[in-house]
Amino acid sequence: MFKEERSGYKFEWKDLGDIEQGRPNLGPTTSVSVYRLMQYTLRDVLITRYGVKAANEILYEAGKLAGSEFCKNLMNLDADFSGFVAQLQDTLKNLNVGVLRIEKADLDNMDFVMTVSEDLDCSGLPLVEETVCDYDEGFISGILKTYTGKEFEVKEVDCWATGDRTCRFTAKLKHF
Amino acid sequence: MNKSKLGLIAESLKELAYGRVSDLMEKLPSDLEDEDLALLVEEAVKLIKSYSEAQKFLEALSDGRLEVEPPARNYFISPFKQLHANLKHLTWQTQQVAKGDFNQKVDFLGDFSSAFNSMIESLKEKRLIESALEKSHEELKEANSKILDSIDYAGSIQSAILPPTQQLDSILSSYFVIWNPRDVLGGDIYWLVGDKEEFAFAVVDCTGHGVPGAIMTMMAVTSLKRAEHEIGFRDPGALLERVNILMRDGLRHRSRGKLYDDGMDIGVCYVDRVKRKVIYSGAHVSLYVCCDDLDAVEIKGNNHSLGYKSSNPNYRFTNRELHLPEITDLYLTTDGLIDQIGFSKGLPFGKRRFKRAIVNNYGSSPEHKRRGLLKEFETHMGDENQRDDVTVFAISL
Ligand SMILES: [Zn+2]
Repeated sequence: MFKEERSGYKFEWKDLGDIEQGRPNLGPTTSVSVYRLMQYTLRDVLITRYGVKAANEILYEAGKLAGSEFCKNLMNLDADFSGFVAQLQDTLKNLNVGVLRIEKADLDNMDFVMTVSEDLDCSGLPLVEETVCDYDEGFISGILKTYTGKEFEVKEVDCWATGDRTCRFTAKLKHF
Repeated sequence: MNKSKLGLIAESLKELAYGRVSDLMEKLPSDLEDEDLALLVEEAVKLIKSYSEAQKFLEALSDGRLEVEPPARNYFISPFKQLHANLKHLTWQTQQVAKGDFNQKVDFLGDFSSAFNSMIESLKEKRLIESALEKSHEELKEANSKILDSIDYAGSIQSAILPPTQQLDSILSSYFVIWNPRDVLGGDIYWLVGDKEEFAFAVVDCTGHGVPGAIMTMMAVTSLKRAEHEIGFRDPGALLERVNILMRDGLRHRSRGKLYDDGMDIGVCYVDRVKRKVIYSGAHVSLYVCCDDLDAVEIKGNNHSLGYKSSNPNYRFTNRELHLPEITDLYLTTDGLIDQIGFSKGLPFGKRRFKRAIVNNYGSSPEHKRRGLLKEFETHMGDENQRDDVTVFAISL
């Protein structure tokens, strides 16, 4: 189920298991540092083995798959856009993922700008010269794709790690 | 040598501390051989650049020009970038609210969040109230149109109890009728019974107008027909007495214990065309007679209405008998015409004006008489609303 070879993604929401049953005392939450420990060590290994570009692509792709599953399983896809955004903002807040704020939503051209503050992946990281939220980029593109049915190119333009205090993402329709 | 170069750098940094950044770059020494000094200048340049970028951005921000892109990788302005992002988000939120999207909420922006969120809540509530109002308005409109439809329909039923034109034409050779209820329905009706030689005609004014008035007219006609069936139409006074009792009985029976007090005014005129004899009896309604040698003369009815609680069941109505000369006009009218207030002076149309119209139109065709009287009445009324149902029943003999 987890370990066989595959040519396409096989993840299903139920693979996350019955956390309530499995962690009756410790509960469903963990420390952010543990989450980051896994992400940044994994990134380290990925970069070492496959190089920066491929590692970023892998993280983006994994984020996209996660975003898509998140959307399918936790969101009401029948809501209109404004209802969907409100719901997404609420869900991300309740799951302690981050504080989503829309800055621009041009529905005619499918052009969005949003920020995520107190981001799970990067808020509080030491300042470096690069954006680090590749997984988040993918996550947002996965959500948008699942809701709109269209491919999006999501780019993190500002990041806590670049000294911007909040992560700002642009999302545009992907042109092939 | 190095000291003065250090001095130049120190001076530039001092200027920067005062916020004066123009031409600072040119003030810094160049072509430095000392590596450390070169490094110091390089860092000073970065500092000045960052500072001046930040200054431009902050000016735009304080002007509210949110469309200005914050400079990338500038650590001076980190908290302001967040402020900028939050303001942009609030702008979007406000635009959404303006578009009627009340789904949004502002998270974690201090006092502003609660103020903004409670504003959205109250707008949402307002919209709910508005849509409830809109709904009840629609329901009222629908109910109203149903009522109007049924009033229209009732109007056509009421017309059906009036004597049909065919009957009028076959009995009366020269006549006209004005029947103008104030609303679609009215408390006024007119009545005719008999044949060419002998007939009786009447006008009836029941309490109220509109639907209640119309219901009363149904009862009035039923009572009249029944009385006529019992005692005939040659004795108008007796007919009124019988109707008085029938109406009182019927109404008391139906409105027992309630405060209703309904009744009617009526004028009945019996005509024997062959003998040119007229017998008139009225309850608060007059007969107007106009012929060659006399101007319009009012034959008053009795000062007693029919069917009211106060109406005496034993009341005797007077019969007034007249013998008519050649070409006589007989007019019956309810008080709606005489009492109508005029636009210009607020005075009623009055009997004087009515009689004058009768005299003026004497000898002309029924249609001419009708139009003449209506024109006189409408001119008097002007922009004033019609106050009551108006009925005139006129014949020529
Ligand atoms: Zn980031």
